[in-house]
Amino acid sequence: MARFKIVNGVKIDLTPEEETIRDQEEAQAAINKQAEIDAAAKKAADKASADAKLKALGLTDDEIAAL
Amino acid sequence: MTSILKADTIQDAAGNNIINENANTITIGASGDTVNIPSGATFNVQGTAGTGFDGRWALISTQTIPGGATYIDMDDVFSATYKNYLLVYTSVNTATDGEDLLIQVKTAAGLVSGGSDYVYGLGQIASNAHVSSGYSTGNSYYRLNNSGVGNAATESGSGTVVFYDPRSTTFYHNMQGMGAALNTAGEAISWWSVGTAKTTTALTGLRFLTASGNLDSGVLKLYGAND
Repeated sequence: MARFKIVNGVKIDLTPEEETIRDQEEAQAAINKQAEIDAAAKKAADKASADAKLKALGLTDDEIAAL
Repeated sequence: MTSILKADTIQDAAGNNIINENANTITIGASGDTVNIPSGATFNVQGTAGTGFDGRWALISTQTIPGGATYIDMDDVFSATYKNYLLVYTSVNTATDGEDLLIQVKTAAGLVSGGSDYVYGLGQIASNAHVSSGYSTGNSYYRLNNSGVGNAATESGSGTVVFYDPRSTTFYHNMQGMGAALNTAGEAISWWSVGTAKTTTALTGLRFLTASGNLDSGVLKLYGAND
């Protein structure tokens, strides 16, 4: 089904050029979202690794959380 | 039979003006008086509001989002009439789960959508105490929220975006947003953000959209006010 936009309350189908642009926007959005997921996963893994190393040094969970 | 009382001035028993007319200017009361509109009464401004009304937000445009809309455009809404503008979006439901809400602006030449036309930064707090942030030093849009808006039947996003002096031809165009929604996990999220459209061309309108997918419902209202 063709996409459409609302311009000042009027429903207008996207032109073929606009459809192409929207396809590109959505493709980029998917890339951006995956990058955010990957970054969040890396951050969580880094935190877990850091916590483990701090515990190995003798810090408690409360002390680690207080850092 | 119609009775007409002709007088330029009506005064109280003490001689204080209640109503005065002079050279087509009607004055009600005097300095120090209080003029009350009783509860239950309606006070309408039929024409153009004059001085003393500056600062109020005047409704310029209302758009209801129909199911399946990709873009919501408000064209030719920024004018010399008002200096600043407030976009209020209410109960916006996205077709796709976890979508971000975006703003693009328009000039007389069309949509501002170059890959480095916007910069933005944002912060967000969730009801699970998670605080996050995001930014871009060059993008094709101004992103309002940091994690996506949920699309379940009970989930929506609402918020405001202020457009500061969009008709300026001297400065880049600053925008500031606040909002609230439920995210994909059903957590309440609140965000605040800033975005700048890096053009000194006067803005004429705006586009409201999601990063991907369509909009299913909601209402957009744009208000204008002078500083």
